[in-house]
Amino acid sequence: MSRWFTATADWVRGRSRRERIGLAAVPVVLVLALVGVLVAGGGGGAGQWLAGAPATTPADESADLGDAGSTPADSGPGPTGPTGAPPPLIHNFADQPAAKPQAAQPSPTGGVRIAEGTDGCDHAYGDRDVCVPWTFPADVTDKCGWLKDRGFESLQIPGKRDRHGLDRNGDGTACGAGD
Amino acid sequence: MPPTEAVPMFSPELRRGLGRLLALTLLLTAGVFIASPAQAAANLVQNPGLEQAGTDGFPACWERSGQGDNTFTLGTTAEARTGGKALRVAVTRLNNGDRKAMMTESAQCAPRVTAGRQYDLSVWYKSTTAANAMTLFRHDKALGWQYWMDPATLPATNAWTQKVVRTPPVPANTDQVTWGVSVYGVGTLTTDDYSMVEVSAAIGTPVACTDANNCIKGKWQVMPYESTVRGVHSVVLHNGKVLLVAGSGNDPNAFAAGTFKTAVYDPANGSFTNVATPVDLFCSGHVQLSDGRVLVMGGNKDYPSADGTVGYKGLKNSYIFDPATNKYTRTNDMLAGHWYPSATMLGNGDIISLGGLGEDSTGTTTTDYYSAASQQWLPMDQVKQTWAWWGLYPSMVLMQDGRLFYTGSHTFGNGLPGTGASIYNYGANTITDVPGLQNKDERDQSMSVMLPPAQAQRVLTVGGGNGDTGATAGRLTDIIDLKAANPAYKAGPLIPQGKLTGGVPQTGAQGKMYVSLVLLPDGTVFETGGALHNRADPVFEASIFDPATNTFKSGMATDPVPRTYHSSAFLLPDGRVMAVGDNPGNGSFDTRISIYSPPYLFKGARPQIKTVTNTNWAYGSTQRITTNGAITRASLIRPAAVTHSSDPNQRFVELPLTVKANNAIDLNVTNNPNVAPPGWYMLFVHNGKGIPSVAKWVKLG
Repeated sequence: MSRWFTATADWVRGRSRRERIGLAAVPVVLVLALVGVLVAGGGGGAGQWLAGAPATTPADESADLGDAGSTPADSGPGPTGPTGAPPPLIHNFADQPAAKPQAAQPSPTGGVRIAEGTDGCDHAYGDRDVCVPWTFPADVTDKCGWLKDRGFESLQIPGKRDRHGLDRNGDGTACGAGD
Repeated sequence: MPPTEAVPMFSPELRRGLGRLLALTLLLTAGVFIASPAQAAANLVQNPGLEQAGTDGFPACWERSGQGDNTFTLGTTAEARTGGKALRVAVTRLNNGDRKAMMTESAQCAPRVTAGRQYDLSVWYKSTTAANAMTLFRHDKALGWQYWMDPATLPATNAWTQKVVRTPPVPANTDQVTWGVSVYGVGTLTTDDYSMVEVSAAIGTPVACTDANNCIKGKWQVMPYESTVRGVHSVVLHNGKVLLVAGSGNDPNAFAAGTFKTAVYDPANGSFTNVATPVDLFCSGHVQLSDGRVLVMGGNKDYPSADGTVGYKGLKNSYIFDPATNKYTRTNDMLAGHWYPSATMLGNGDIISLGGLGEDSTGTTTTDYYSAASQQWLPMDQVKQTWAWWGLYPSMVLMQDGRLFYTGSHTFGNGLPGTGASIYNYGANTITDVPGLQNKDERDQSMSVMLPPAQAQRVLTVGGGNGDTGATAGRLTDIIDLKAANPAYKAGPLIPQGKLTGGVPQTGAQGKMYVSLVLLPDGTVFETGGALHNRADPVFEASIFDPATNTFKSGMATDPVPRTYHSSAFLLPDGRVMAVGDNPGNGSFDTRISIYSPPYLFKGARPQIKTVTNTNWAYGSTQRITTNGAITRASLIRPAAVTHSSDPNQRFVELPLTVKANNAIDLNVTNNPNVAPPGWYMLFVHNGKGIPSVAKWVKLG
């Protein structure tokens, strides 16, 4: 190394002042050009600040799915928790400042009465797992036809209550033969 | 004179030296260019070192921020990491709220971002408290500045420490963000040298569809076997199996015979394991406890009377199912009977159960509260009671502050009086109406879900009808942002329409009830199944809702099996969706099993989670995983515990990434148990194409 370095140094010393300035200018211009590109950013928008430490270089986003192995190169601290468990950060969302809360009601003496048919079914027809609609859809005119289209067979009416008039011949069977 | 020897202008040594100098200069220049991609490494933070003072003496492009009842100082300090200034927040008293320095929310100062891109946020800090969290706001072009999320919690440290976290993809309509570090406990935080750099976009390899049709619509497969039980209730267990609870399965003969069924289904091999079932758990409520066991509450004490004049009656029994032994163990009884109860886990692992029918078939107004600490239902004098009637299977979703949002989704009949939706504060024992739910009396058998991610605190409610009035199910959807000061539902997009039996297209306002919503690991919501009327007229339609755009992507493949009353759909750990059950009004029951492979399973190789260093996760921690390639997002999805279009505990929790070298990633876990209640979760990652991994199981809290 020393021979070429000495020769180069001697050669530089042998140049005139103007020549030495010219030689030094070459790398300076290169570096200044690089800085210029970085500061200008090459894109629109506001200029970017260079003070402060940049973030860790983003990971390669290559879509290559090569096997990384099971041991991370940066074993780092491994799974880390705070020194002492952090409390939850709870935001004051949904404060509803103008809303008036309902206060608790007095202790009731019983549950809320639920009207029959709350599950949408009239269980007076057929077995108790059968669900004849408590109210048929508004456009249904032929109720037995509607039921038949949906796989219902004729239905016994154990309590003799026939709200929908499905047992037109009064034989105790809804949507049976003759209905 | 001897002849002068000709001397070359440059000696060989000199030529070699000049050549090496030139080469060195070129190498250095090229190296700097390569090592510093001009766009990727550009720091988007204005005044990141805090050295330039603004007109008020505070660092330029920074502002004081925070809220709540607390005492604090916030200013610059000379104790800087670099330069002469850093920011210091000292909180000396805190009742509630937080304090922080934020990048100024202005067009000039807030970093500009591009929707869909991701950014690495970095800050150097020291803190005497563990109560530090990065807080991120975004500027919505239409709505202005909005809270986005708290992507990371910063541990206490007395040495300068760098924290880096990657944002999720920037939401649509966002053009700027600001962020800072919130202090929300007593202590002192010093920060310096902020940075925000755009992450290089993934190298664009075209989506490789392995099947053009399936790549767009996904694909259903009906299993060649049927369920051995009527899967009215479905719970995904942390061993990857599925608990299918039938009880009597809506079969009065089975009830009369005391034949109650449960099976554990293994999707991996199609096997069913019968489980002895102590009582009729048909129409019960259920939720996974924090240890992975399943708490089952209430159920069917009796069917309606033969003449129909007396309705169903609810049990007050309760059991715990243990996946390790496949056995039920009885707990103490609840305070009241509950037929169709809610079951919501709170942030402390406790369970609140509301509504349903009691032992005498009247509506239960008793609040039941299961204590995780004592592993029992609490006695009356330890439970706060509003004595409010909540209806049947009321959908009660846990909010980030511990209150419950009643979404208005329920089973049977009209909505509750008032607006049909409300916020229930168990601690204060108050209920406050929430406006905006459309057509609240026709949301019977609608479904609600907390949209991904849970940190966004948005809820979607879809469809519904009214079995009592015979109403035709509608297409309405409603979306609420529970981050708002006065949250109110706003109309969402209409449910896409499908076809009825025989291929008849739906028309007009026809929608569906008993619809299923399933959170997918790519952050979307699969909508499937349902019927036009109560227990009648299946609708063959499926779509995918994208929370980023609030739109449905219609035309997904449809389950060939009708999925109306007593059906359920839920996510499996392998990223597929399973559907079971159908119980139309004629009393039949379809026990076929369908499994849906979403489009993402036809778009190329799946990323893999290679290692999970620790499977017991603490709140506010970071957890190391390794993958087999680059990923863009990670999430925890709570396994399903669903029945009757109701699974209020279903949620997708964002895990912001801290990306290391060689596909090692630290996942930043929320510090708020109300955002992710304790228990077992499915850990998914997905890549830039939205293709998810198979899940790994981790236990949170």
